[in-house]
Amino acid sequence: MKSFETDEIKEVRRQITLKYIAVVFGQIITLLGLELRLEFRQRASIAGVLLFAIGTVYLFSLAFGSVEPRLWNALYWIILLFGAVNGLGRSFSRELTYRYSYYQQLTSPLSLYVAKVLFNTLFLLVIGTLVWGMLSLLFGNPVRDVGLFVMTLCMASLGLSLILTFLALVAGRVNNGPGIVAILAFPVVIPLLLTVVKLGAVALRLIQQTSTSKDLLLLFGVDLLAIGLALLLVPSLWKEA
Amino acid sequence: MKGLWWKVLAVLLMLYVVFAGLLVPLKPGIQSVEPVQLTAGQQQTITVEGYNTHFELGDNVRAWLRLGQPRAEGDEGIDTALLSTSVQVLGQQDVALSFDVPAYLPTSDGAARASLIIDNPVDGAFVLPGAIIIKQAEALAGPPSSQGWDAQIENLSASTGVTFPFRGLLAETIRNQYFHVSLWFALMILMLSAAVYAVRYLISGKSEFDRRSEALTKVGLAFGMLGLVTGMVWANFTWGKPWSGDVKQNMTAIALLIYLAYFVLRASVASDQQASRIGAAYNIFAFAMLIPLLYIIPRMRASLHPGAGGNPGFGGEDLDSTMRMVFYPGIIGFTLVGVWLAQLSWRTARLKRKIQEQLLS
Repeated sequence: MKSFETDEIKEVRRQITLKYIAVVFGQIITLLGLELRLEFRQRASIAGVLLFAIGTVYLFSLAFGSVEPRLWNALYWIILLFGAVNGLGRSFSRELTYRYSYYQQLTSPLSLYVAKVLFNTLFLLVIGTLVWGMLSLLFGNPVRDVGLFVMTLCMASLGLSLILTFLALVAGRVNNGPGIVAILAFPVVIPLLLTVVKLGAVALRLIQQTSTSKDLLLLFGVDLLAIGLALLLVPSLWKEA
Repeated sequence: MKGLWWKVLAVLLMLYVVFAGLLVPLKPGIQSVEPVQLTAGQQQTITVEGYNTHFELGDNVRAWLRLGQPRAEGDEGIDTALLSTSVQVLGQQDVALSFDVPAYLPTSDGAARASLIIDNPVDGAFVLPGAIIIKQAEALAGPPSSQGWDAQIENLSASTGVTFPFRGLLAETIRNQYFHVSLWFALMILMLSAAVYAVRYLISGKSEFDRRSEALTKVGLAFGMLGLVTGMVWANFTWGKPWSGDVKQNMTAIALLIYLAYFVLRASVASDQQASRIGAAYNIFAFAMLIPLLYIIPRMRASLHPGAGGNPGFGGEDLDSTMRMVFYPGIIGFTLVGVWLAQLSWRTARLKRKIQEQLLS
């Protein structure tokens, strides 16, 4: 077989591959743009999550008055986690109606998943920044190592987004969707949350820096695992039974 | 009758593991020594409480205090011993030993840690490493000397019979190795097979594969809970309480919760085929989470569990060869029993399905 592969055929094959990659990237960018535009016009999910976050922070300020850095750290990540479960659990509620699933035939399920993950990561970054600002306003800003804190926020957003988007797709097919997301998500995100809380404590100078790079590596590993699994499993989950 | 042999093997192996694992005695050992500190240059008596010993049967009980330090390369090191002057047997488990400790220690540290070695013809020789501290008397301060420390440890009796090792911290709970560790091994094999069947289901779409995957997961989860409970029993003895929030325990609990969610997920999907596909995808996901949760994260953190934080795990040269003879059959036995249970479960599911189809047609 090899002998038939002239340079010309190789060149054509290379171009087809490149074209395919370009198409997938185009799809991802279009879908991401669509998500952003829809969110910008409707502001449904961000408003819901922000309301939840503001409510929680305000309740805390009423109940505690002032919050010490240890509690600040825990509060911050727990608000982010619950906000993520609330906001991301319904990621596919629109796509899984029949009309949209017809439209979605035009794209590959993987591009849809990647676009959703990117959008959800941005979403969580926005929520994370706003909650950070809100907590700083009410209780002061105890973050000492801003770089590490921002990096942790980015990794946490990406990890939560990867896992919760996948679980939202799983739960989208199920009767009691949002309830199922919580049941599925909590055990899966606990290791992530533990690592993130620890890194946050380092960034707040609550504990001595001992193994930050190891923890970041662990977060990165969790993210990588979620990416690999999603690439394998999303296409078979997408098929309509 | 075809296909019966492995079930017979499973029963035989389990009987063997339960009986051998619980009934084979531990090696004789030293449980406690009183007092734990001696002073050089005095005649002193220590009382020793043994475990599984037969001091009254063996009439020739001998004991040594051995000062040993690891030999460095090219260095002679210190390897000197002191023989007991008199031995008074107080009972099968109790013995009083008198030592005539020389005035000077062979080291210049002012104190030395000695291992206690006891030998008798019935039990063989056994050791409590670092049992006693010998202090240099201040009034007799002088240059180190090995005078008097020249007893030869020789003509040791060999222990007879089949025994498991005696480890002070573990004592009888060493037998849990055959149940706790074997259960986790069997669980890994079952969960791996479940994930493989899930992959095969997603590729082929044959519902039989999904039934097998679900049944194997069911049994695996049951084994996981047993493994967790046996681990807690063990932790209660060795770590002080059944649940100390150790990272290994936490991650195990999370892994089991992930697998519990698998059944919640399946139950909440209306259509059978959809439940199968979502279940299969989630099963692979759960298995991929199981490995880091059980074997990677606990090793990156400080954990009391063997295999983490520099503790040796099972296996290799760490495991006694008598224990291997029960441990390996234990793994095979538990795995076979697990597969048997799973097979019963998936055959029941298949029959239910058939009955449903007959009722419909």
